[in-house]
Amino acid sequence: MKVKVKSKGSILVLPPDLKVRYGEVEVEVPEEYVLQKKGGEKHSFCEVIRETFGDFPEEPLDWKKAWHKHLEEKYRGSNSY
Amino acid sequence: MAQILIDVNVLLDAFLGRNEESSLLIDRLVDTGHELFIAASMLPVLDYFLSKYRADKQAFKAKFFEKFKVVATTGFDVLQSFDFADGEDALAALSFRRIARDGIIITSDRDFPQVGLTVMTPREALESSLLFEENNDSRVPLLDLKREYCSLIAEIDQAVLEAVASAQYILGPQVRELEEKVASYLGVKHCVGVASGTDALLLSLRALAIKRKGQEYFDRSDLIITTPFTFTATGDTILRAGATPLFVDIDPVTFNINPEEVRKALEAFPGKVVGIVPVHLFGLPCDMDAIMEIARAYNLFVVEDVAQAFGASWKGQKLGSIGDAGAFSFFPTKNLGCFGDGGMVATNNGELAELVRSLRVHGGRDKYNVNHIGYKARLDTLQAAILLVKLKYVDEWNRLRQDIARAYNRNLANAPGLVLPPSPEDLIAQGITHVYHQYTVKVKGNKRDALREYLKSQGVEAMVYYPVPLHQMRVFSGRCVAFGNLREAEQVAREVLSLPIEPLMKAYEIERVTTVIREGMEKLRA
Repeated sequence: MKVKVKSKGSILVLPPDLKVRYGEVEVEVPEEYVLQKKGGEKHSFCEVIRETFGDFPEEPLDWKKAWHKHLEEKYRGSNSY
Repeated sequence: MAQILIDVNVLLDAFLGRNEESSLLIDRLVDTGHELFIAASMLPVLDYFLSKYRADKQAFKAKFFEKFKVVATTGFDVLQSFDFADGEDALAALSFRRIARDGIIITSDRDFPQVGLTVMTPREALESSLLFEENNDSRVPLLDLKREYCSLIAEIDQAVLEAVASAQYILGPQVRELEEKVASYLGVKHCVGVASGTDALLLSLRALAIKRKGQEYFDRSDLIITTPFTFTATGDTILRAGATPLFVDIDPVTFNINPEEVRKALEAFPGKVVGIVPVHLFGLPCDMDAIMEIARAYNLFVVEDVAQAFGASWKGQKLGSIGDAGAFSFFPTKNLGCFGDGGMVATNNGELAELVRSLRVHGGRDKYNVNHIGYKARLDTLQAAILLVKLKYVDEWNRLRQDIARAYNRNLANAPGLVLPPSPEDLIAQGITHVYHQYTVKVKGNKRDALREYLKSQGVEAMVYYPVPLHQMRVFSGRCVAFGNLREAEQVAREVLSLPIEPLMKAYEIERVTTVIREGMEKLRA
C-alpha cells in the first residue's frame, strides 16, 4: 500500500481515519531522506526501543486509565480485611 | 539546548506505536541533543507497561537511560504534591522544576500541572521554534556545569544523599577512598585531600619548608621560581609560605614557563633559589624533563601546579606525579571539579604526605596537641563523594575536550589573525597529553578585546585568562622578583582569549563558535 502524505515541516500527516500499525505504511517521502536512511543504516531511537518489546497493544489505550485500573486491582485485596 | 521532561504517556505512545507524532517528536528530541528527563515517580507506570508488553527490561534500561535522565523525587516534593488535585502528575512536575527552572514538560494531558514551567503537547512541541529552529542565534556558554550535573544526575544524587545520611561529614570514608583512587590513577604513593587548590599549593610549600629547612616558613630571602602568567594563587601561596616569588618569562607558544629562562635566573641568583613551581597552564604540560633536570642540578624542590591539568601526562607520567608534590584543584570549573572548593596534594614522599596531613588539621596528627602552625583545610566528605562519581568519567571527558580542540583547530585553521593552540595529535607524537582545560587562542593585531565584544554580542562567551601578569599586580609589588622584562608574559596577556570548551557541548555549538569567530575577524579586518 502506498499512501500519499502531506509534508508539514518535518511532520508527515497521515489521513485522519487511517488505522495501521507503525511501520506498515508505505509513504512517499523526500528522496534525500530515503537516501539518508539507506546510507546511514541508522535506526531511530524509538525503533531501537521498540525492538525491546515483545508485544504491542492492538486496542486503543488510555495509559493513565489502564494504570489506575491496574492499581485498583492490585490494591483491592488489601482493602478486604 | 532545553531541559525537557516527557510525560510517561507520551513515551508509551511513542514506544508502543500508538501515536506517530509522539514517535517523531521523541526521535527528533533525541537527535537534536536536548536534555531529556523522566521523573522517578513515573517509573512505576513505565515498569508496569514494560512487563505487560513483555519488554526485555535490561535491554530497555540500557537503551532508554542512555538518553533519558531520571529526576529524583524528594519527600519535600511529595508534601507539596498534596496541594494539587492530581498529586501524581504534580509530583513529577515539582521534582522536575527543582532541577530545571526553565524546563519544558511535554504531555498529552491538557490538565498537567504547570508549576510555573512551560507545558506543551507533542504536536505543539514538534511545531515549536524554541525546540527545533536552527540554532544560529543560540547562546554558547564558556562552560555548562548544569549540563554536566544533569548528565550524571542519578549517580551524583545517590552519592550526595548517602554522604548526608552517613553523617560522617568531616574526613568521612569518601575522602580516604578518593585519596586512594586518585593516587592509583596518578601512580603516586600518597594523596591528601585538602580544601582547595590554593590550599594544595600552600600546604605543599609549607610542608617543604618544614622538611627542608626545619622551620615553619621559608625565609623571605628564599626565592621560588614560577611563571607570572597564571592565576594569582600560584604566586600568593609562595608569599604565604614565607618565600619570595621569582617570576621567570614564558614560552609564548605553550604559555608555560620557559626552562631556558629558569636556567638563566638560577645563574643570576646563585644559592638563593629553593624551588620551582611550574604551572601546567590550560592543561598543557610544562617541559618536565628540563625542569626536573634543572631541579636535580641545583637541588631544588618542584611543586607542580596541576590545578588545570588533571589527567594530562608527560611522556607516560601523569602530571602531579613527577615533582616532589603535585597540587590539584577541584574547583567546579576544573576538568575534575566538585560542587564547591576542593583540592589534593599528590606525592611519593611519605614524610611530605604526613606533614600535609597534619597541616590540613591544625598542624598535628593530634589536633589537641599540635606541632605546627596549621590550617583547617580538609576536603569535605560531600565533595569527595561527588568527586568519586566524576573521577570515573574524567578520562572520557578529557577525550571529549580533545575532540573539541581538534574541531576548533580544523575549523579555525588559517583564520587570519589567530594563533591556535597545538593539536592533540602533534602533542601525542611528542608523548604529551594535553587535556584542554582551556582552549586559548592568541588574537593578533590588538584586536582581542574587540573580538571578545563581538562574540559577546553574538551570544558566545569568551574569557581572558589572564589579563594581568602577576608581577604587575599590586599585591606582588615589592614582594616579588621579576627576572628580565617578562615581555612574553605581558604580550600574551594582551592577546589571549579562551573559547568555550565544555566536554558535553554539541557539534552545532562548536560550529557556532567558529562561525562567529570567523565573522568577527572578517569584520575587524574590514
